[in-house]
Amino acid sequence: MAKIKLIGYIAEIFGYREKTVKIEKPIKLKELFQFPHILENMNQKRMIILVNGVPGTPDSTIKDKDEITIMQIVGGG
Amino acid sequence: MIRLYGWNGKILRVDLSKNKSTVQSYDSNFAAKYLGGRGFAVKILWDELARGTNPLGPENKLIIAAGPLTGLPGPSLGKLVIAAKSPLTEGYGDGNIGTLAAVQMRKAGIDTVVIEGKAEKPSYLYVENENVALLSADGIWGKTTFEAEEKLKEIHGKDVGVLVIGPGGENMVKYATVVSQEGRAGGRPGMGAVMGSKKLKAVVFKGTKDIPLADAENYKKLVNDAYNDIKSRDYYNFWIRQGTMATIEWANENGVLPTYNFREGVFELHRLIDGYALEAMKVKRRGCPYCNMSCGNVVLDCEGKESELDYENVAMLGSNIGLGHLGKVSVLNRMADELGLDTISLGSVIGFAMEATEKGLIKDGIEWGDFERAKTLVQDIAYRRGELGNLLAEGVMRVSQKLGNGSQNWAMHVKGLEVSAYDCHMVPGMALAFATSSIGAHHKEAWVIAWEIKTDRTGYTEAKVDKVIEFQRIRGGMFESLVACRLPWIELGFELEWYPRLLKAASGIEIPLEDMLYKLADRIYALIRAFWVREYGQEWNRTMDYPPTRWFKEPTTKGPYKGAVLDKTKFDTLLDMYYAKRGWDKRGIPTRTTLEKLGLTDVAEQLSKYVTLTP
Repeated sequence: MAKIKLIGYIAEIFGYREKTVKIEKPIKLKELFQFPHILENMNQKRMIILVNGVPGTPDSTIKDKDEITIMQIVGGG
Repeated sequence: MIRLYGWNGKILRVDLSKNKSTVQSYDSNFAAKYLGGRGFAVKILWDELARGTNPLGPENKLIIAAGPLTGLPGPSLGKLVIAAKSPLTEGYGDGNIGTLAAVQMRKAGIDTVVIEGKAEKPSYLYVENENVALLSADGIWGKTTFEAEEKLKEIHGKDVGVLVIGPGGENMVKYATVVSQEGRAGGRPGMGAVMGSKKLKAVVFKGTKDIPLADAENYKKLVNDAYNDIKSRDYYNFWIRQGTMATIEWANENGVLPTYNFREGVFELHRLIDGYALEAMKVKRRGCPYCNMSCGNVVLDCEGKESELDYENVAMLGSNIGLGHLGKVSVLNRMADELGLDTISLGSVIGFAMEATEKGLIKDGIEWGDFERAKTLVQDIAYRRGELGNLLAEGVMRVSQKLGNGSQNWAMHVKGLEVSAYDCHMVPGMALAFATSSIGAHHKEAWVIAWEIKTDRTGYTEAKVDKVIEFQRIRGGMFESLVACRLPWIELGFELEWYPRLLKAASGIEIPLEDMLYKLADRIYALIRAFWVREYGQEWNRTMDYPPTRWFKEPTTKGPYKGAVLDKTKFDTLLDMYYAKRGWDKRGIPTRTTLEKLGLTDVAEQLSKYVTLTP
């Protein structure tokens, strides 16, 4: 199972904060979402995607047991 | 003299000892060279303070400085900079504050106030256009900031702008702030203590003049477009809901939430103090004048009183002291605002006291998460009551110097200023940002954590040095001198190019963004550094720019980044690169060539009396 964690504003957009997904074969990260274009169309400059803690993109390849975290850029006050 | 637009061209000078005020004019050259706010403040303090000035003596000068856009309608332009030599750090100190006082001061025809001397008895300064009076503070001295402001508004009208100190400032707590509008606070490095040392309880402004505009019609249109731009941003609605409090969840996820005096970057109870916990308690929002993305989220605390929260105060008075209850954190935060204490330093001091108690260095101290004891301690600090309260009022650097036993290693400060609410065990770029921040370890100048995580979290790279300097130029240079709020840009992506356009319409003077960032901001940074070096003379060395030892020597023990620790040798490499790019030598002192290039030849001449300058 791959784990998806969405933080803050990103969780609001997709409607959940955390879920696990069975990955049969490697796929692109964006294909884990019902509407992949939403992820692609979001301002990539203001979003952080981490795959197992390493910076990724909507096109990163995801395998079973991967952990994905997606969050907005915050400014640090 | 050429007529100025945008700027009023007036500096009000007040000598409290002589009960005398004068108005000084300045010209467009001075305005363009230093812009306003922090730029004006450091220039005045450099020129007029002697080396070794007692920060709490009458000879220190308190500067209240606006920028050329301050007080005008426009995105988050209702702010002031308050500056002086800091009693906490003994170096340059300042802070910004969003307040109606910014608008009223500028409408009174003034851009900057310079206050020196010491009042004979507790007093407050009342400025109404050209009329300046030092009035008795009988009836408000000893009151909280909330009570005193209410009283002053009863006297002078509800529309006046008020800057006020609480008991913390009166008792010269080294991290006392200046407060306005029940929760807006500024001047972390003890600007409230400087006011208190001068027996100055408050400054009240009332103005009825128009701020002169070069192109009023264009300015109005630009402002309208700018407000609409901000509201159209994707993140706007979520920002309105949670503001900076969304960062609690974010920081915990990324292992940078200060926890148990910065031992850890994750807090097991973070869900109880995060942005969603805030939403469940929120009763209203507050903001600075002319802001359409106000960041002050107001809740009812455990005692049924209003408390204005943001990320920094909740992290420092919550996770950093082991308190996982937002209602209780809100009480401590509200008390700090009432008493006029900086919430960041206060959270650091209490966290330090908790760790010192755990380690047996303080007897009858305070346990982690002990809310009732923390409440008592906050009062004790503000009034300097008892041995512990009086000691903690000095800030963690001095407390650790007194306690010894290795406590300096976990006294979380740089240059004496307590670290803002981001743990840096595993973000070396942010550690560099804290280390080189021009007032001590504050986050307002360069906050690079998100960029580090998005690119190369663990690296000690030249790109990180470039990013720290870039952000210092933008945030610490341009925004602090324009005295505009950085939040529209950093939180919503509002483009920087708006600011030169607004400045041109307001003042008629075109200062390209590049000039603001490279010439002006670098000049201001070099001048602030010169101020510090002048104070320390031959004692100044690069260890002044080191982050706290804890981050080098004590790895985290929890969370996804368990075992994280900074590498000292690699950090030194970052610091060398930083100095080289700034044109500073290996000690962190601007070279003569750098100072001359920035138009600071006179500064080089004076500085060379105290240290040997590298050519």
